[in-house]
Amino acid sequence: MISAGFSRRQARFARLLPLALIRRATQAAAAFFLLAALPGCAILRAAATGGDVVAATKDSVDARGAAIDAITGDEERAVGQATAIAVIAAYGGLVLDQELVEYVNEVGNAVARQGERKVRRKTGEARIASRRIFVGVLDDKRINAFGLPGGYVLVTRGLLENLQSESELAWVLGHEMAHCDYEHGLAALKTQMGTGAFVKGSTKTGIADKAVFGRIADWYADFIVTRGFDKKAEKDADALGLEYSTKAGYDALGAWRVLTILDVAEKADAAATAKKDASHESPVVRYGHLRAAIGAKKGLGTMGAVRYDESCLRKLEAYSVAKAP
Amino acid sequence: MRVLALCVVAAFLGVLIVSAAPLPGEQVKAGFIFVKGAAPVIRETPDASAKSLGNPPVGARLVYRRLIDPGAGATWYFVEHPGGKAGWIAVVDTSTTRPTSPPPAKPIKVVDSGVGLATPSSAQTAAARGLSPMAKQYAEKKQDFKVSVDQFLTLESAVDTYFSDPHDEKGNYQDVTVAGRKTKAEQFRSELK
Repeated sequence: MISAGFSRRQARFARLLPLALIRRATQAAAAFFLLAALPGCAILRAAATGGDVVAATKDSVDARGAAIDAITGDEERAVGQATAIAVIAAYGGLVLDQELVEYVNEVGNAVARQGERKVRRKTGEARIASRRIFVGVLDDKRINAFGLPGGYVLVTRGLLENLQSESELAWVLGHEMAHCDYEHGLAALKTQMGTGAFVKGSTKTGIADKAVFGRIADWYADFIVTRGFDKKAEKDADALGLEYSTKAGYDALGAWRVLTILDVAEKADAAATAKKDASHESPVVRYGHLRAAIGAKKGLGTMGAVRYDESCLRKLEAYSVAKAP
Repeated sequence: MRVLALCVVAAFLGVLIVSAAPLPGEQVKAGFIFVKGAAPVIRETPDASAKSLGNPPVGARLVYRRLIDPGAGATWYFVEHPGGKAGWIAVVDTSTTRPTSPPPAKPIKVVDSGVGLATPSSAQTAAARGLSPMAKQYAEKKQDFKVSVDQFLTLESAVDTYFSDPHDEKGNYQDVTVAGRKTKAEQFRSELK
């Protein structure tokens, strides 16, 4: 809530005016300043890809961290692969055009190379050392993207069609890769396992347990598609995505442009907005978190627009033509 | 003094609220259109006599974030000019399809993993090797996952072939500083404009 951060002085002022008016005015003012910072773009409201659950106290986070350490690289990949297959099935399959696949993976891996995986406490090494990521394009008009364990990233064609430049794509892929690097998915999974949800009465289930792996994969696929990560994880991924993409040479304002797109998409879908408002910051707030980092590096957010059009948008059009009866 | 300051702030906020008010028939909607016509113009407001902000090139793809729809379909789109300025373009200057034909698609041949078959062939078994045993077992239990598994393995295989850097039996890839890989990545970056 925007009003939650009011100072005492602001609160005194707030008593003089209806709260709704203040909230609307604050949003309008924020939008105004964003517009001033970027002529030509329309900032609207909320955005993002879901929200849940992984709320935990500091103590349980520590315990969870130790528990996550026990997951092996093979187990992480297995969860990532199983989930990817479930998401592909739920989202109408993949767009398998040779040049499109090469392009999105080239961008994704260029961005991913700028980051690094969290290391395990016991060994001091990453669970999966490789920086290879696999980017797939889901043949679905909805606007969404998923960062799965093991370095699997899925983006919808609906999202790609609403981007205008490679800088925007780079931030999206950096954001999703950050979820992989910071193991937000594994943390959520481990928390769920700790509740004994997969085996009644037992919280000691291992991922490799054949009897429950299916249930784990089903839960995780549902989690990632219908709920997603919490605000903190999204905020971290926003910042890391920006760091990765700018280190790779992309325009920082690509992030801002994507947030406005997500915002519009949600506004057009009131039900989705209501659901996601409960767990996500508005794009104005998300941009606020990124503004300082963007400040020194901003351009128009359109770097790579020509290549994006040729290598991605035209390929999607060609795929649609080829697919049409 | 304090009252005066409050009045100034209130007036400022009032202006902002009024300026944020939607136009009649305005809808928030995301999408894209292509520029067509003899002399397409992006204008400051959705009005044929409004100030011109520029002429987008015919064939350009523009994303819109708002549109005016009085009920019988869109009449104006709020778009961003390729140079960065935003404004309104009339629907008569737009098309929902690109004026030029797209290049031919290059579909990747989908591998047949044989996942879910009682007796997969040796070629199918080989194709499914990229899949972890746990993920494979999971997919086999789902009747409607066959296509997804095949597509997933096709994607993995295509990416592997494209990057062509080998991985060990656990799926760990070589470091990204492999000479050829690095050169290719630098070339990709240098072409970014």
